[in-house]
Amino acid sequence: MMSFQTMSSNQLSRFFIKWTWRNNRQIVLFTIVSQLIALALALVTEDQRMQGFADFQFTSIYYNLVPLIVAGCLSTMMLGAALKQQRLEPFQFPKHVKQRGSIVIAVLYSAALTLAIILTRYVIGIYFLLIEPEQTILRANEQVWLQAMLLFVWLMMACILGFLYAINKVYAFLVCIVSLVAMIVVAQLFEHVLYIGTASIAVILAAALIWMIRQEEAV
Amino acid sequence: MQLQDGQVPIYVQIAQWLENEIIEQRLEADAKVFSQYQLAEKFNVNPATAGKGLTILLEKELLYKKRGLGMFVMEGAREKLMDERVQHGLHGKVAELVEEAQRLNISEVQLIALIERIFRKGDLG
Amino acid sequence: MINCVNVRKKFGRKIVLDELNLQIDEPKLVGLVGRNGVGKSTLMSLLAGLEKPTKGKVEVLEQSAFDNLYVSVNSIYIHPNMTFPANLSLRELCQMGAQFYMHWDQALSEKLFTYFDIPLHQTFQQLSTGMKSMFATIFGLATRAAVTLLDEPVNGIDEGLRKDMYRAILKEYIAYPRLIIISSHLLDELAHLLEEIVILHDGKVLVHDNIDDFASSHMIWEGELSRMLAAYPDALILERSPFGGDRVLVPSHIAGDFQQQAISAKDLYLYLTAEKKGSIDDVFSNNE
Repeated sequence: MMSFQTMSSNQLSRFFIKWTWRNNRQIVLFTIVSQLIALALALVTEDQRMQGFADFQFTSIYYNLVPLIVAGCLSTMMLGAALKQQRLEPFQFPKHVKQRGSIVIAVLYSAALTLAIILTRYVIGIYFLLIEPEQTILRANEQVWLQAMLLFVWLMMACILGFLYAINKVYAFLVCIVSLVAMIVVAQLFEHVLYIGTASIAVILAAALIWMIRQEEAV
Repeated sequence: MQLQDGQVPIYVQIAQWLENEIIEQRLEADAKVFSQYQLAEKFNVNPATAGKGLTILLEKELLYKKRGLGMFVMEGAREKLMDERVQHGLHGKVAELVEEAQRLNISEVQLIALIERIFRKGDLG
Repeated sequence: MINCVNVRKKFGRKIVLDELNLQIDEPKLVGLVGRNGVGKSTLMSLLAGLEKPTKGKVEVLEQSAFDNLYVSVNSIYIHPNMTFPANLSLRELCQMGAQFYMHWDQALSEKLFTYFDIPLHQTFQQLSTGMKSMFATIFGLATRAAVTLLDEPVNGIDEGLRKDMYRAILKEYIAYPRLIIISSHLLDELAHLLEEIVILHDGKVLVHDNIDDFASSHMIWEGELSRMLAAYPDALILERSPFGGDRVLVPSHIAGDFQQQAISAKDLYLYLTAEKKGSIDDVFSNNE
């Protein structure tokens, strides 16, 4: 009369992802609100509203995107911290299910946010196209995929930073400082600051992540 | 249903209750007895405890088991129980009475006379 | 269903459980008792697979309990200070339960929540202590998990409602038998529910027995102390009554011409696990 059940690893992963998502709805809310605020900020701070969207140059894109990127990074940082701290008690998950599920959530979220931010540019462009058709040229930048990759990496790094922060605040600050130092060093030595800087910080964060997870398990 | 705590373990109380049901003929010969689960719900105890009460009666051969159907009252169970009450219960009481009488220096004849008087009058006071 | 062999659990340098052995093969209602801090919750954590033993093995449903998928989906561990996900309403928590535990009893849970007036639209954090316990315990019962671990399931619940909760546990157990281990310091209230009792003491299992057999394993003698000690020198002295009726605890099979009294499971457990030498009166006495 006693009932047993079996569940596959995949079923459990799906359950974990679905309910982690539902339990962190406030992060989605934060993301949407912060993106909207950043968007308003971008539009307002645009000096040359008339000419700013004349063509999508790389530099002007980044100038305007900065608020959106910062808001995006904050969101993924919160997500990272939430993923570390949350426990769907009393339900238990084997470690590999939790890790797999967390990674899937982080990647999907960052990808979705990247897409949203990139598309926002075009939405703004279309908006100005509608109000100032003579002065606006809508042209897709050839490097848009590269920029998307870069943005994605930045969002993931912010996520990892949030995760580290939830493990140990002090270490997380140390990692931040090390990253800044690395950035400065790279800026002195190299031309393509953005790419090389991003790569080096990514390496630092990945190393810190692995190290801190090992530390935790040793306890 | 409430059971008294204290001296007598619960499963013994349940066994006594069942014996009483048999004596009062609320459970007749070959009637099906409550299962341990039904007793458990009735007396608010663990089924295993209730089961122990049933086992006492089973061992006293007041009940018999029919595979897959449950426990039933044995033929002659009531008579057996009545005998037992007389043997141990009443016997014990009479023994106590005789002891007391001896302590108070009352002779056998006087005691019997007293008993006859009470039987006739119905005066138990 | 549960098999603990020579389990040792250390936290830092503190040894909580040491050479603990416990085996339960069938579904039953088992009570786990022990003094504060003896390690009941630790044992339950180990059985739930939340912690790993420092040494020895903890097997549940014939598999090593720690980090085990099969054990996770066939067990539930309810304890005070547990937190359900913070941003979900109780109703959503029940949805989770239904999706995780395929034998989840939605009808029962709804009826019990209604009976105990638990507001399903609130979150777990918003409930009072008593309500948290009630929700958590009902939740635990509704999962119908083969291994159900209830640590202080009536913590903070009013006396009247406690009786109802015990009855709910019993009726659920009768309807859908499973292994339910209840850890509680309110043994006297629980005893009628239980089939077996496990007493933890000094990091080990001191007693694991049928609860009735345990209670009837000893009895109380009342009489004159020196005579009683002469009859059985190993008697445990319980009381030196001012009226002259001293009481001692002896195993039931010992014959003696003294007034005998049965002892409840709770009292026997308290005497057997008493730590202090001497009584509270010694604190106040100036003579000795």
